[in-house]
Amino acid sequence: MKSRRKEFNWRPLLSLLASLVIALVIGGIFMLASGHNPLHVYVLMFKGGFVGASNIMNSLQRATPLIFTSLAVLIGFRTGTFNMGVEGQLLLGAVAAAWAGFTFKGLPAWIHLPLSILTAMAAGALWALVPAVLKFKCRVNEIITTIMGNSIATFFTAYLANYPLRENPMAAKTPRVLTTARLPRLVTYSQVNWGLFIAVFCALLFWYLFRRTTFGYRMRMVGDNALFAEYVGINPTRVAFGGMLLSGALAGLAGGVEVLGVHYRFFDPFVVGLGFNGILIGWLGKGSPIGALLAALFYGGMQNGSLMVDMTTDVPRQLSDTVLAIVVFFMAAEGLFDFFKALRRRSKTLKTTKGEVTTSA
Amino acid sequence: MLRDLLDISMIQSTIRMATPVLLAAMGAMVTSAAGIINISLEGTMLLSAFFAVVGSYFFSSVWMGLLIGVGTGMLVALLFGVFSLRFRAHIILMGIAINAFANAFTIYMLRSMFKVAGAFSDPRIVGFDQVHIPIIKDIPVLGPIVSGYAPIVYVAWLLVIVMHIFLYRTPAGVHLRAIGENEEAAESLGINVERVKLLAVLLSGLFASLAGVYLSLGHLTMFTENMSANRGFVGLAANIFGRGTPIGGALASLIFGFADALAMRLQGTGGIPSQLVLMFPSVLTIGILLMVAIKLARDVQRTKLRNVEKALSE
Amino acid sequence: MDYAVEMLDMVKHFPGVKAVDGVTLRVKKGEIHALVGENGAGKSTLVNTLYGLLRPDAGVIRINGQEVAIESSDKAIALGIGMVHQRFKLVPSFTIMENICLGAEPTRNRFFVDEEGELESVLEISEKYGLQIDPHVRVRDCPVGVQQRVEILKALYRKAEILVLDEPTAVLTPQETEALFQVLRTLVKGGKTVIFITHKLKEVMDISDSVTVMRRGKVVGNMPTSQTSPEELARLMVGREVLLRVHKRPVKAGKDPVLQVRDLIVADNRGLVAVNQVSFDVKGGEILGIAGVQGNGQTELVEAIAGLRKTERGTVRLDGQEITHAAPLARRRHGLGHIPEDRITRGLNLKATVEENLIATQHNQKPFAQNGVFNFKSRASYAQKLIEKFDIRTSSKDVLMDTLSGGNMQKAVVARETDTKPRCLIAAQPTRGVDIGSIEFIHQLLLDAREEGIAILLVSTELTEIMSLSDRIAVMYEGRIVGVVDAGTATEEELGLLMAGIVPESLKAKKEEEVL
Repeated sequence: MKSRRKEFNWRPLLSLLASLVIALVIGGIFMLASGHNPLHVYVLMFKGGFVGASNIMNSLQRATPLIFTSLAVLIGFRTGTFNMGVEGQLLLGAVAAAWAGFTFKGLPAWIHLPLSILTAMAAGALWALVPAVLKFKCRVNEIITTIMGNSIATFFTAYLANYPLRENPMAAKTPRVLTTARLPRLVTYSQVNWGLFIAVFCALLFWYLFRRTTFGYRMRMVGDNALFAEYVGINPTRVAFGGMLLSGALAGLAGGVEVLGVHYRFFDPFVVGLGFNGILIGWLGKGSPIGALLAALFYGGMQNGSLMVDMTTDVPRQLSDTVLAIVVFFMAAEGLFDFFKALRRRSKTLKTTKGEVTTSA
Repeated sequence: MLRDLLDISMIQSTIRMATPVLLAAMGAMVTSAAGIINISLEGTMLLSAFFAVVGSYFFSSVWMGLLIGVGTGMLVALLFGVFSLRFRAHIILMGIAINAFANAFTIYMLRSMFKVAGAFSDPRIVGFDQVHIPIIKDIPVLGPIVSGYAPIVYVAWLLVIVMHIFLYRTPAGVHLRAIGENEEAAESLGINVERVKLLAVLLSGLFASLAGVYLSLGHLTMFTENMSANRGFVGLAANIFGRGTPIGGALASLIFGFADALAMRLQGTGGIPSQLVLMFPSVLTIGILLMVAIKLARDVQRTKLRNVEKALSE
Repeated sequence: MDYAVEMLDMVKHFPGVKAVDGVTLRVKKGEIHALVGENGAGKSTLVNTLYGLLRPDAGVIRINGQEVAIESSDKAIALGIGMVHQRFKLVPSFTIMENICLGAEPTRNRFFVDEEGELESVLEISEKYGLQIDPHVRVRDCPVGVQQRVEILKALYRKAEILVLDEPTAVLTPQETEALFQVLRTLVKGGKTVIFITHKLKEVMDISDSVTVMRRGKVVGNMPTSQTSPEELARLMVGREVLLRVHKRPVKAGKDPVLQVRDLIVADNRGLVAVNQVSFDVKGGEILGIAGVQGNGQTELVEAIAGLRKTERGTVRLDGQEITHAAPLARRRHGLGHIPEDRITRGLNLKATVEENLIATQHNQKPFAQNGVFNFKSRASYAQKLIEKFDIRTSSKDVLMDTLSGGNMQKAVVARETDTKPRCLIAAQPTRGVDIGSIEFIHQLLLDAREEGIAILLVSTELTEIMSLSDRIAVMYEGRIVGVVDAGTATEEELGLLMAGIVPESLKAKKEEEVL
């Protein structure tokens, strides 16, 4: 079917490549400073992420929560809200999944697992509810409230893991979730699990929703121009509010999958950074679910590769996170592109001879 | 029970824990006065904390540590400012990228440069000496509360007064606040908006870096992973809690500091779990945001109704 | 001749339109010079170049005989030019004193603001020019008339010798207006020069010494006020346009009104009353034109009827159904179509494709979607149909909307809103920023819709458009309808005067007639 096709814009791709190169160079400088060969390290990193069965599987596992969180941020963004609270919503989802996982005994897997997953999503959505209400009813900026939500979530879930939900006085962790609530592993040699399929499914689902359904259409219209949406008969507040809750649900799902597929329990301190990395990756994906999926998969590989590099050399695994941050930093500077364009144009106009038409910068 | 807790050591602890939050709040305040939400305070603080240790370690001098720590913070702030203001980078995204970078990079360098994980502590790191104010230090009760802190603590609390004077009594401060409220008005009167905003960002970088230096060289002399522990964000919250004023921010920081100190004290004893205590000030802040927003909406509604009644009666 | 300001052959383009096209303005020192014209005539653009907010494409500016280049407001201020904008540029939480001295505060010891000095200076100029204010009150607590005084004091504090006021009386009560005029007379007696932009002809006659009339970017009249009259000014302002060829056939309007508006009160964004007890009917097959200068409540009226703004009092009925507080979607379902006055922010989603824009109001309905899933074939064929039928020039239905020209964008909006054959169509500024060819096209469309029995509410600041299309014309002034006339018999002068708030003699007799 000849579907709609917007003009393909080369700029973001060029910008991504340029920023990647800059970031790798900067990373390379640091590596040189500590006596490593950057090229050697980068090759190892690539191999560690994308070559070899166990590497690939592990990369996929690392990518899984990032797919969810980047989708979460993306959905919020496409409907015009900034959900910075993904970290917190993830934690709530994780602890809720753990709770559902160890509390409901005697349920068959085909009930227990979906129930736990839904609990995680509900918890995430609920955590997004307060900032959403504050934004849409009381005009309070959601950036600040969602960030504070992260703080509160960190403490609250830590409290839960240390007190009411604690398994035993030895460590701050919940009991293990029952086998009926676990996401089956895909292979024996890696923690990658069915959560990956759910993640990919979600990405494809949202791609489909945005492209082919009225639901996605409404979200896009609200995110692009809320005044227009109101004018054509869409209720922008309701759509954006729903978008934020959906965003929270996905973040909760990320946490749920981490618990039900990888760790089988919640503990304090839980995995950190999935939310903020999700924001960066979601942004790299330039607002498209498929873009976010690809970016997450690529970054999962980079992260795993970084881990492998850490184990075989003494270059720390934080290399991948550092490079990612630098990439986003440079890519975000849209004006940088224009700045260089203006520089080139200025030097061009200096070179023109009389009679040639020069464009004004 | 509260009586038992409110002893001198508690007050000292509160002041110490409040100091980095206060500095972050001042940083948040000066940028938000100009209409900028500075998310990058957290990352700036962390990077400064790390490089302060680096400076102190390699030069065996706390002042070098201070210099390098603050220099790092200002550099980050400069990048943040230039990229957001001149190159039109998305300010929130920039902040998050800087924080992510700081997180990853400090751990990277910790392990790469010092070959340790988790925390780095070494006798070669020189920290700040405590400042003992003569005469005052011997006053019972008041003495230990006022005297005996690292210099940065005094700088921070004095900064509150300085900032108050700056914001309300100097032309630069007035211009800053004008830009935050109505940029067009400032621009139409010839104020260079970009320059003032950049200055605000640099100032906030300075304060955040001081907070970072204090964290790693002030009370303890070490660097731990993720040392800033969200204080950059707490600073934003404290600024909102304090309604964007220096004194309000100071009071809010004390509340957050008290919660920190209380949580530490409660660890190990029974009673209220420390996490709930730590949670409380943030919850309070959200409550305040809510109340302010409701009041604003009510005022607008009231004005409108009044005008409508007037029109009908004419 | 001592001219304070000379602007010679000024030209300023904006994309697609020549806002100022060879304008020459000469203002004598010590006079009050009125600059009049309809919306879009170019007055604001012209004075914005004088104040350095815009750079002209061509032309020479002389201040007190000296040729100058004004690159920024700084420079303008330095040359002694002060401007009071239509939308005030004040900091709400600052006091009057602080606002006046902002950016030029007197200092003590170089670091601190000299508050006493501020107070002194402010009281001094306040006294000198008779502008009473309380320096310590916060601007947000001041009524609009006082705020304006603050803006004037701002200019005087910076030693302005030439004062430009852009529509200053738009927000003032008659009493406040008189107070302002006293101030202006005092200023002029002290040697200052005043340029006064307005569309209120009565005020021009009251206060100004000379007047320049602008129309569509050019000067169409310039004379001492004593040698002209409101009628002549109205005629010049409105002008005799090239007759647009429209075929308007007599249509028998329906019996019952389709749109009924009664005693409508609507507030603007500041909480002030913008629509003040407005009532009218529109029958099927009739075009009711709402004429008036921008800013007299038309925008808020249209938004309230379309459901995009809250109605405070009064009712709106469509085919007898009350829709006063209904959501936009419900109004559309009842048969309301709306061509918004701002196509870019309201009427279109520039980030979406042409097709997505064209089906926007029906995206949920069959055949375009079923059970929430789109049928792209139907969408595509419908979009293609509209593109051809309405002559929308675009390379494809799949390109982003913002690649289209203004005229084609508007045709897309009109296509979408009229093709569904609504019961009532609101057309607000339907040909603003549109090329001649598209204007004719759109006008014909509106007339065709009229023939098909659709009730049309046409809101426009273009008087010729109103006159050629409407069956009846209602004029809005300061939130009220000040006159309703039959389009066939009304003259431009009558309408121009009504638009300026003056009820012409010829209509005073008719006033007793049924207005609805």
